[in-house]
Amino acid sequence: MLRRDRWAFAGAVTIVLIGLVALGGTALTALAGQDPYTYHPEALDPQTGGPAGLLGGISGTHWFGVEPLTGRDLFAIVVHGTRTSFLIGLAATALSVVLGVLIGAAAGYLGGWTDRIITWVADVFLGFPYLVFMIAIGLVAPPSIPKQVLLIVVIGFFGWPSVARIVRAQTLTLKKRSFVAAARVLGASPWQVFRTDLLPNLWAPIIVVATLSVPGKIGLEAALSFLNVGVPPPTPSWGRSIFSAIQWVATDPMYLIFPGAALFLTTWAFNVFGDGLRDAIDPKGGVR
Amino acid sequence: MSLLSVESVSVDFGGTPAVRDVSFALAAGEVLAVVGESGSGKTVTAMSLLGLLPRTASVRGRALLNGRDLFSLSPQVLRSVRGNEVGLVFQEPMSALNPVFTIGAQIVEAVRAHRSCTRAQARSRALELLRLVGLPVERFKAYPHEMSGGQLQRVVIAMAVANEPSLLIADEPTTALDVTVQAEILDLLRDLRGRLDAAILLITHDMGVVADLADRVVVMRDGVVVETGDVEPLFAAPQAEYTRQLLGSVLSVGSAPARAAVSSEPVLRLSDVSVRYKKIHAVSSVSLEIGRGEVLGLVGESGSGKSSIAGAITGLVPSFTGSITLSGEDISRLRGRALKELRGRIGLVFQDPLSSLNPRATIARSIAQPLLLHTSLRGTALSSRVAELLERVHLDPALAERYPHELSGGQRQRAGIARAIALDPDLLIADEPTSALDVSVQAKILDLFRELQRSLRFACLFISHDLAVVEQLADRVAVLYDGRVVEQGTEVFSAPAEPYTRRLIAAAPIADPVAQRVRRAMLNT
Repeated sequence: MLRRDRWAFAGAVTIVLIGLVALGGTALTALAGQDPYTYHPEALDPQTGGPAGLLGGISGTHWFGVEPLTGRDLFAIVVHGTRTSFLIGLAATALSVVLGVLIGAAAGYLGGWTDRIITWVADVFLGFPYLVFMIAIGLVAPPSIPKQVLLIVVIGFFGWPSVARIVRAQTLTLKKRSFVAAARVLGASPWQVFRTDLLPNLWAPIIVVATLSVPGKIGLEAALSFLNVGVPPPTPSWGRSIFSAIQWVATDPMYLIFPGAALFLTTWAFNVFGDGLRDAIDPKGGVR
Repeated sequence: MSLLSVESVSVDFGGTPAVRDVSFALAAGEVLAVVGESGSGKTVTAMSLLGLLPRTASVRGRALLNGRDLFSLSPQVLRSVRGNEVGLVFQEPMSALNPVFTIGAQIVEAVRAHRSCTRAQARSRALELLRLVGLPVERFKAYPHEMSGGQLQRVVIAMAVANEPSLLIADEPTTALDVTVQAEILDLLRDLRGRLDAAILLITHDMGVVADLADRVVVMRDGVVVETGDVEPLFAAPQAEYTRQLLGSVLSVGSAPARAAVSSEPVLRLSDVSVRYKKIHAVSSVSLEIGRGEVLGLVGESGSGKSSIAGAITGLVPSFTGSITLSGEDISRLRGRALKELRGRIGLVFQDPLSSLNPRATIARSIAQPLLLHTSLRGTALSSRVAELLERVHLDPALAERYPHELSGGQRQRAGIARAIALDPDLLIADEPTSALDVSVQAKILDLFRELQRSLRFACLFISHDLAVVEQLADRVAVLYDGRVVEQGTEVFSAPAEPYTRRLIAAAPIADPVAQRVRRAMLNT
């Protein structure tokens, strides 16, 4: 099905490629003879502090050029940044999907007050100025907690309401079908009904909503790093690179273009792939 | 000359033939019924006439309406044919109407779509149409949700005849309706045909409806016409083997032998049970008993409270007053483990076999569900029990690893029954188990029920709106009307005491045009 949708296929291929880059980042940069931490003052223009040479200092040694002021290899920074983005994006998505599925299914299946309270809370969360909250948390959290873990938990936690809404709606329609009634009549507990009757029928929408929410999470991590409450330096991050590149955009536009393109490519790939998945699954109405 | 003449029409869906070489003719003022089971191509044939098939369909042949070939018309011309020369009546009146407009506005719209007239003229025409279909004029301002299914179908018919079409196509016009309402709609169609001199192309699966309304019959199977003829000779002496088979599977009230009452200690006893949803009394103080090995038929129209009674017993309707005891134990007193154990002693068969099986679980997994919940059977012991159950319901054990969508309707219902009897229940509740099935399949499922009931001796609550089906199976019948049992006993059908029961029995058309005409004459006097 997916093969007929060329854009979705291209998206899937891109995701796989970026995933490979994230996994084999160290080997890839070693191949280029670089790492994202070493300073290369010799690659800088001593007058301006910007990269020496054309196009941000692109050369055989520095494939994407170098970072201004430090001379660190931009290729290595972008490649290692992939790992940060992927790790946080996927882990946060996983967390919000697990929470969202459990909470959404509980709301849809149990109904009544459980449903009402969960729906209220979800609505509050959806309208919550979470960026402010995340910045505050990022500043007050004890430094003993690794920043990556903190980001995953915070981003993942704020992602559950959108998943829960979709799962709740799907559960409500499933609940009306008699195979769920059949299980209830037999005395199956809510957990048993969830595991054997609801979950297998929820996979399709869950996968779609998860795929479509990954780029948002990656973007959010970049935004937080941009605001300097993301992963701490010197760990490479696209968001932080984009932030510092803003000040150099007039003299060294390549510094902005490479991490920006990486971020764009990743979110684009997840979006078209998710759209394709939805088209492949939805025409049959979610449940086959 | 005939009004409509269909000449060797074939329809393919992306290479898969759905209809092959169908020909029939329809004269002005005549009612032609196209009969067949699901997948026979009857609806596809009718929809092809109006260009209402999906884009993937390719149509060949000719369909002449007043000498014009419908298949050669442009979409614009065809649109003016629909609604002007041809009116359409659908199966589901609720989905055929727009819920946010009054029915009056929708009829006015139908009038104005095809003729140029002022708003006032259209309005007076709409009021005239309401009177024509027997609806009070005050209903002009009513919204669809304020009306019953029968009234809505009248509205749809009013819209279909708004521009006095010469042909009315009715696709299963009464299938979604109760029998007493069905009788009224059939009367209306008969009346309209007389008054408007319109020909009716009636598409149906119900031989009773055919016998009641049609002049001529086309029997279809697998996209092919198997027999065509006038209604009386066709019913009296069907030529094709398939027609004989179809008529043989049709059940009519009064055809089952009388049974003696079974008297034993009741397995299920309902005393004074009432169910309320907010302000609506769905069930009002109903008392019933079912003995071991007995089948109690519960009959009633939609909204009579049949399913609420079943729900109270199974626990799907959580709150009721009165008491329900199963094998001497009061259901409403039990909690936790004891309640779960009791649930295992009730088997439930649902109406729609596709919806009652988990689409992502194999048949074996669905049948094993009650065993997994209530017994310690696992591994090979479990699969051998499942195989045994499949055999019991006459399903090939090879189907065990299939998914529901890979099975036919009858096979799915057999799987549903296997799940219901998996724990050898004391009580089996069957809620309209055959209403979603074709007649020939229905007959086989009823045979299976009878066989299982004889060998397993469970008490059975058999719920149906179809009197003939209930009469076939039930030892005793309870008639439900508006949440109350109006009559129960062994002779409800042979000697109905209540006027409602008599009306119900009279409304069910029987598959014999001659006898049906006699019944209708008696009813109208």
